[in-house]
Order: sequence, then C-alpha cells, then structure tokens
Amino acid sequence: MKLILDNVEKSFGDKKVLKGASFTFEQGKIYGLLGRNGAGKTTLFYCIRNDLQYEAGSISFQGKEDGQIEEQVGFVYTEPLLPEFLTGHEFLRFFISANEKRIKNPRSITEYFEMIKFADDDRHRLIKGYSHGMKNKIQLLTVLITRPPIILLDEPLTSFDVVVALEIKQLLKTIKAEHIIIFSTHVLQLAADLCDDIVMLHNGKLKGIDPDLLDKPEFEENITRMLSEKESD
Amino acid sequence: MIRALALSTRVAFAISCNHFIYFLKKLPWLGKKIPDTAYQISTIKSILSILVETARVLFGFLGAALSLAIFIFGPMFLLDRNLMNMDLFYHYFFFIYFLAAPFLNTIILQTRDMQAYTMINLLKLDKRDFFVSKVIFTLGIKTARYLLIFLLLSLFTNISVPESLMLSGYILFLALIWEYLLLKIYLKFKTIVYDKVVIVLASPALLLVICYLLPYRGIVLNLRGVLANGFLFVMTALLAGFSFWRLYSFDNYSTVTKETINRNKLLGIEDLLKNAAFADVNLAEEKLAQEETNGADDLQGYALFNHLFFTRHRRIIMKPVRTKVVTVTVLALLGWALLLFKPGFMDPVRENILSLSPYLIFFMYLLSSGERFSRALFFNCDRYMLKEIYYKNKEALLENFTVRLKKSISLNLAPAAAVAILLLGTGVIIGMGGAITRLLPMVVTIFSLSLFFSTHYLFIYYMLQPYTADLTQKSPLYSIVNILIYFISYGSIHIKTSSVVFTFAVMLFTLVYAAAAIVLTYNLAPKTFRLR
Repeated sequence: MKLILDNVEKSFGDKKVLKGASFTFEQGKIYGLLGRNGAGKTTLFYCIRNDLQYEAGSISFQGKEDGQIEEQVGFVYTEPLLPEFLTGHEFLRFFISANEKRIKNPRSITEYFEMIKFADDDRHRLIKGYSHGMKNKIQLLTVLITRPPIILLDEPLTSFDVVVALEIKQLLKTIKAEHIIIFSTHVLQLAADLCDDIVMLHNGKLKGIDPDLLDKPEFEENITRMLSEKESD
Repeated sequence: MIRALALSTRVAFAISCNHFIYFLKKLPWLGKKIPDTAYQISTIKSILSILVETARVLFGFLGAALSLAIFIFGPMFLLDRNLMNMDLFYHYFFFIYFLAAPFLNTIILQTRDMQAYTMINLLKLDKRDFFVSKVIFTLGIKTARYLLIFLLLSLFTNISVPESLMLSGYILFLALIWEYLLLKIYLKFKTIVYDKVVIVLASPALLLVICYLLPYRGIVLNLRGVLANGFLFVMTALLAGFSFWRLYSFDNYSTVTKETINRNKLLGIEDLLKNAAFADVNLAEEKLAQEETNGADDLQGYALFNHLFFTRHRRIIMKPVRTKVVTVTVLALLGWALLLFKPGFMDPVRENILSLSPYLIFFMYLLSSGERFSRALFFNCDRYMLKEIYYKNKEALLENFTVRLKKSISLNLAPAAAVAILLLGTGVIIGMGGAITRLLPMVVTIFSLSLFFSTHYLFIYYMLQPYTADLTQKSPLYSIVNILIYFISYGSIHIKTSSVVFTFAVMLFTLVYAAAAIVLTYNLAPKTFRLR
C-alpha cells in the first residue's frame, strides 16, 4: 500500500501553505511529520482526508484519487471531538453499529476498553465530564476499532500522561505492519523514538530525512538547522 | 504621557480598522475581492482610520444628543409641552448628569477592559501614563461633544453661550471627581463599584424615578441659580483639578490592574461571549445525566444516537415549546374571560375574526422554535460529529435529517394546536354556532405555517450551516435569510385577501417549499452540511 502525494498546492487567501508537496508514504512504517508552527501539517492532513480542497496536484492511494480515499483514512485530532451527551460506553456502542461494515474483526466493547486501559468506573460516565486525555484515548480507540489503512495522528500524545503515552506508542508499533501511520509532532524526541522515518514539512514542501540520521547525536541540531532555513536558501 | 496617548490612539485605530477589514472580508462577494494584504497597506488603513474614527465621533455626538433628547427634552415636552422651561432643564440636568450618569461611566476602574489589557499587559505601556492619557482623551472628547451640542441648543433654546460652557464644564469636572472617588473607594474598601450590578443598576434607576417624580408632583428644584453661581463652578473646577492631580500623581496603578485586567477574567469573559449565543441550548453535565434514557437497550446506530440525544436534551428542546404553549393558553384564558365578563367586546371580535389570517404568519413566526432547535443540534451534537467521515456520509446525514425534521414538526405542532384551540374556543364564545366552520381555513393555515417554519429553519441549517467549530457564526447569508423571514412575516400583516384564498396560498406555498426543501437537502446537504 502506498499513499502518493504529488505536487499538492494549497493556499488560504494570499498565503500559500503547500507549494507542491510530494512524498510517497508506504505501508508498515510510522512516519513522523515534523514542521514548525503554522508550517501546514494539519492542512496537509485535511487535504489527505479531503476535508480541504487543494488547488493543484494529486493525492492517490491504491489507484484511487482525491475524494475516493477519505473512507480509508482514520484521523486523530489534537482536540478530541466527541458527542458529550453520550457515555463512553454508549458512544462505542453507537460507533461500532454505525461503522459495522468497516470493522473486520469486531470485539466486545469491554475488550476495546481494555485495549486502551480505560478504567471501569469511567466507562458509564458522560463524555462531557472526561478529561482531555480520556477523550483522546476514546478518539484513538475509534481508529483502532475500524483500522483504516491510513492513520493520521495530529499531535495526539501531548495530552497523555507518560504511562499512557508509552502504552499508545507500543500499540502503534504493534499495528503498524498493516497501516500507513503518519504522526505529526513538534517533539523531536518523540519522533526519533517512535517513528521509522521522518518527513519534514518546510516552506510548503515535504522532504524525507535520512533514517540513519535518527540515531546520530547531532540529529536534533541538524533538524533544527533544516527547519530554520529560509525558502531561498 | 503624550507618547502613551499617541500609541494607544494608534493601536485603537489599528484595531478598529482591522475589525472593519475583517467584517468586509466576510461579505459574500466583496469579501473575496479584498486581499489579505489589505491589513498591511498603510494608505488603506489610514483612510479607513479616518472613516472609522469619523463614524465614531459622529455616533458619539448623536448618542450624546439622543441621551439629552430622551432624558431631558423628551420628559420636558411630555410634562408641560415647553422646551424653554430652564428651571425644569436644570432640575433634570442635575439629577441625570451630576448624580445618575457617573454610575454608568468609568474610565480607570473598568473590569475586563480589553484596551487596557492590550496596552498594559501586551505592549507594556506605563500604567499611569496609559490611564491618565485615557482620562484626558476620553473626557476631552466627551466635553467637546457636549459643548458643541449645548452651543447648538443655545440657538433655539434659552441656554446661553456662557451657560453652554458652564454645563459642559460641569460634565467634565463631575466625571473627574467621580473617577477619583471611585479610585478612593476601591483603595479603601477593595470594592469596584461597577462590579456591583445592583448598585450600578438600582442607583441610577432610583435617581431617575426621583428626578421625574418630583416635577410630576409639582416640585422642581430651583437649581439654575445654584449651578450658575460662579463660586460653585470655581469650587467644582478646583475639586476636579485636585482629583486630576491625585489621579496623575497616584503611583500604584498596579493594584488596580491586578484586579481589572486579570488575564483569567478576560479569557473567561471571552469564552462567555463566545458561548453566549448558545447559552440557551447548553446543558450542565449533571442535568444531562439526570434524564432517564429508557428504551435505548434494543437500539443501535443512529436510532440509538438520536434517541439518546433527544432524551438527554429534552429540557432545552421542550422548554421553549412549553413556554409558548403556556403563553398562548394564558392569552386564550384571559381573552375568553374578557369576552365572557365584558360582552361588549364580542361585536368587534365577531366582525374581525375572519380577517385575522394575515396576522397568523407573524404570530406563528413568533411561536416557532426552529432556529433554537438548529442551534441546539449544532452546539450539542453536530459540532463534535461533523468532522467524522461516517457521520457526513450521505445515508447517515439523510437519516438524521429525516429524524430531525419529524422531531421539529412534532415540536411545533403543540403551539399550533394551542393557537387553533384559542381560535375555535373564541368562535364558540362569541356564538358563531354553525358558522364556526368558516374558521376552519384559518386552522388549516395555522398548521400549514407550523409545518413551514419547522421545515424552513432545518432546511437553511442544512444548506448554509453557518457556525464554526469554535462557535462563531460565519455565514452572513444565514443572518440575511433570517432577517428576510422576519420582514416577510411581519410585512404579511398588511395582506388583504379572503381567508379561503389566503389559506390556499399558504398551503400551496408550504407544500411546494417543503417538497423543494426536502429534495434540495437530499441532494445538496452532503456537500453543504459541513463545519465551517
């Protein structure tokens, strides 16, 4: 499975955010998408999922293009959005039945909750009372339930405590063989630790980083230097 | 000081200009023509600054003139049809501008003052320089404004030119003295008078009552001589000068700003403002959890989702409907009682009841809960769900639309039934007998209109979905459509036609509109119903 981005361009008003972003993401890898604030990481994700119309270029997956691939994409947002009038348990019940056709090997709701170590007491409380981290766990769980081939994670680990973050990292590593996982982050250490490949979004373009660099002591320094380069450089 | 004044004026100009450009950019056609660079083009901004500030000065002037007209000259005219009675003028002026107005105006001790927050916390302007320059600027403009108004008034009232100078002088002096007094009260008692809603609302209200009641009972305080007395004027001026000097030499404005422009308070108020548009459709967690959700065990998918949504939000969805039914019932009972106890009213009702059809449109418009229903759907459900592919999927979207449409129609049926009963009950009481069947076209009109408003609001919500995830309304078209509906409903009062023709027209229009709305929603909603 390959997700191919070819010369994608996207502007907001006069500001061009993506200026011909091209890259091929492959199955079995976790990609760390690095970029400075406002570089366009979330915009790129929205384009991949067809939430935003881009002006030029193409995004294809398994021979399908643009509007046809959104069903193949799972998206975990930085700010989790869940219907707050439901309990966690009710939401999963609804989610599983509403997505019945997309779930290959369904498990019980209890098993799903166990998967993300969600406390018994919290399962029957309204989502409205959940913490940010709890909501994020449920949001991540929806992706783990439907297991779409492409998983986009927009800064998801920042709200988790260290224990949960570690568990989620392990979980992502165990499922990566069947997916293309792209993980946007500002945290270099996290990218180096979790990801197989680093892709930089800088000056509106995507650029792969040599994986060998990840283990080198000067990794951080090199990345910072690259992200500081001006367009004309 | 001059630097502070210049800087804060420049920033205030820039902020107003940016707001104006932002507003223009949101307009449907014009907005797209304005480039983002408009924010940085200094010529455009200079021109806009002049326009915005001219408008501000003009509106300030009109506002001051209007307040004089409403609070002084209006009551003078109503009391003895005489605008030249200067004793009465001074009586009102004293109560309103000396006593009541200071409760409604403050410069330094304003809590949640965004300008102060920007200038002091963000731009690091010296606190004293900022506040003193703000006092000079604000009161300078205010005094000039009143001076101009009084000079204009001197042309056709008994106010003389020296009096114009004196009256605007008093406005300036009083404002300065109050500003200092409020600061003293704060330092002594740690109380910001303007935060005490009861004091701020009740004191001026009480003063206004006394102000107007006294002349009504024949008592007019003879203050012209007192106020025009040079000694009092000079003393007040000296006191104002002293107050200004104290404000200028006060060196601990930090204690004030800690309280007034506290970041948490300001952010709190921003959230509050943002949520204000949805306050009536928000429900606390404990209230949500209290609702019984029986009957959900066997449900799955969207049936489960919608069942739980409508059950848990019963309070906010049913409340306006209940209020409207109760209002109509109370109106009906009062009206019926009046007819029974004062039979003299029966004849005019008998003569006019059949020509009331056109009023039904506006009445049913007022009774519709459609707009609030859409806001409740967005705030409590769609703003979370519209990012999800499976929720935006055509089948799911239309299944939900159908459930919501049925719910909206059934909700609006209750007030419609109450109006129909009000009408038929009135027919029975005025003794229409068999002729009551002549009211049936109006009953059909009532239910048709109920169906129209139930469909209309949901339809435009699905077509224009005007809100963003962070709860701001982004579609000017949505506001325009709502305003148009109001004017059409109100304007329809003037339609002159027989009730049968009217009913037929309303019914036909409703059926065509509802059918078109459903077809359009089914075809276009998957594209239009999305988060902005």
